[in-house]
Amino acid sequence: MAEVVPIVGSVRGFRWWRLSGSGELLSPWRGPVCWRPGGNEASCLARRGMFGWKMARAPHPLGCPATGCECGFYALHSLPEMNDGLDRAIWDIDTATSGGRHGLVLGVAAGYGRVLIGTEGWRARFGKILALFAGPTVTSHTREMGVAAAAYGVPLYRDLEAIVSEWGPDRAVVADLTA
Amino acid sequence: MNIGRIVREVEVLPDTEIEPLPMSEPAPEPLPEPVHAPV
Repeated sequence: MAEVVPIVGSVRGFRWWRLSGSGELLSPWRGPVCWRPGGNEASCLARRGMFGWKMARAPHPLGCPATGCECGFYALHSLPEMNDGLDRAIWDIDTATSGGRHGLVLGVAAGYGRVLIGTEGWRARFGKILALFAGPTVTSHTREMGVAAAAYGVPLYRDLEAIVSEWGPDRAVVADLTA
Repeated sequence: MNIGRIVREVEVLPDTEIEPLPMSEPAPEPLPEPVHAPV
């Protein structure tokens, strides 16, 4: 990798959160880590212990995220795609089901601080929720999504194209970063 | 999530961290005590 490139602003990406049941948004697969309104700082949760996720055995000299670890706040350059194949990943979920019975919510996050740019997404030290998307199906989570959006001070979209065009990552910036 | 092969490391400085410059204008002088002419 070349030298660290400074950028002013933020990188943006798509990701899922899990609704807590009380209007809070959690990292869905590690933690549970509760996101706060505004900036959130990631900590290393590389290992699964008996009582939950723990940081890597060796501390990271440059902090989180570390290249040799899996830590940091994650997001994708593009919308997650539904995948029914054997190589399906847990985040390959139909975006139309956001806010559905599984309790996961799709949205856009900003990443800043130290950020590792990958070909498909990024891992950042700091993350902030920018916007949320509710799919067309009304479920018991729909009202909670409204509560969450208000609590986090972010817009809640019912139109996927609108959230992508208004909050999604700039395609030219992504092309530059991943070139 | 799998972010693919890491191709770059960046340091992103949020633009909200840029503080406005402090005001250079000096504080106004206090007004002088009113002078009352003898009646």
